[in-house]
Amino acid sequence: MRRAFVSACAAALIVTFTAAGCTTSTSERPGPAQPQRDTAAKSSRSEGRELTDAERVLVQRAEQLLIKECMEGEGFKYWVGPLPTVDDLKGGGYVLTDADWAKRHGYGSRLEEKLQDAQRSDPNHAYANGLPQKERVRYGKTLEGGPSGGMLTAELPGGGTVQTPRHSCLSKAKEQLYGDFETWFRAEKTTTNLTDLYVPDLLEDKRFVSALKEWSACMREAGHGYADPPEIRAELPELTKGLSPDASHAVEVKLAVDEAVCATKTPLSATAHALDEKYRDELRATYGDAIATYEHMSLAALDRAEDITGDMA
Amino acid sequence: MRKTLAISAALGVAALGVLVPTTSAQASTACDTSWNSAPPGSFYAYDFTDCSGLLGRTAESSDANWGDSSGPFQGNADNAASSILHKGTSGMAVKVYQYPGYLGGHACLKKSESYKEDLSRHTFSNGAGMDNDISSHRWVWESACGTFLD
Repeated sequence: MRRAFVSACAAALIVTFTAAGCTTSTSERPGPAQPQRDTAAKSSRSEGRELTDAERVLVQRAEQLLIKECMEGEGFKYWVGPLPTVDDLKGGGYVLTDADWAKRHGYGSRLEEKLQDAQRSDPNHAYANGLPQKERVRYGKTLEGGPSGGMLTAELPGGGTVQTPRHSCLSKAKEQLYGDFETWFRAEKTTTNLTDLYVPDLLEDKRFVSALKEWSACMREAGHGYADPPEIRAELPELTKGLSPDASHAVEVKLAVDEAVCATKTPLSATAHALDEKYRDELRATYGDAIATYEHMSLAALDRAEDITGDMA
Repeated sequence: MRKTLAISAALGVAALGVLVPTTSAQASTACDTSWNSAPPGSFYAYDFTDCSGLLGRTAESSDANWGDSSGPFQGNADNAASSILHKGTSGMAVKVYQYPGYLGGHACLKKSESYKEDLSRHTFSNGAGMDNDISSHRWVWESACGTFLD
């Protein structure tokens, strides 16, 4: 019943992009597939919500399983992964706000190394590069598509365009997950590139500037003289140069924890999150349909991902 | 573009950002050729538009400074790229940055987004133009693209 309901809503979304009746079953989802629910997740809104990090990982796993099925159907081997953990998806923002994460990972240097290792040792690379030239080209076209099959183009909110092949195992997997690849591609490109439009203004907003000064004062009290978080990231390589891995990690953790503690002890974290939401909300007047479509299609994909990972894992 | 929007309105469909007719997509033949021959999992940067004038390439390494003498991009690659190409295999995206050390404005090339054949048409997250302005890159999880805070 739920699956039928979701499918009907997904179909309706493709037509109307509003589908007010499609939100309730997905916004309060039962728990088995989200044991690691991200406490920082955006709260459910009547018009939809963003996925939590744990949910993103689940959808990504489902996408990989679908790609594997497609690639094997075309006669290739394919290995699922690498996939991130919830911790892997944090730490890349303007300022750290989670002191527990900072205590575990500092600024994420070790996670970064792990990610590079995963990229380096991806068995799909070795396999694809070991194929005869002709098969290697067919592999690339099968996995990611090519211009001969037609390209989709989305214009980015901040200018420029992004293209992607219309037909590939990747587009097929996304079609299966999101319901309509073309609609998803355009909504995703718009929604995930909105920061380009407002972050420059947000950084100059006097409320943000004022909160940043308080954060900087807090950091000074903790023994670190920095005007803003990017300054720390810029200086980190110099601060850890020549140190043993353990000593380097300790320097990183101390700074990162102080950064996060100061962000929550001063108004910086709350102000940054509030302004982030405010500026994004203002863009809804122009991009609201794309955002709503992105959120609804993400939730529909989550439903399918639960079924897929349950059936195929 | 205008035509597509008009059609959308006529159908009673809310416009999804801006829809661009496929015919306006200026796929680069040279970039297509480079993409076809690139090893899966690799990232390339070029001095000129349309994937010409190779500055450097890598299938596995990040490079925190395109202007120094280490890593896959060195010296003359700094602030020089006018087109980039990414042939993904795993689920990761390539994130390029305006400054060394993964700082300043940034932009992603996700899996299956193939290439940006003319960076003068693109801007970093902070509004700065991307052409001749990339100074570092690394692989990131796709969801690390496009967020201001975690």
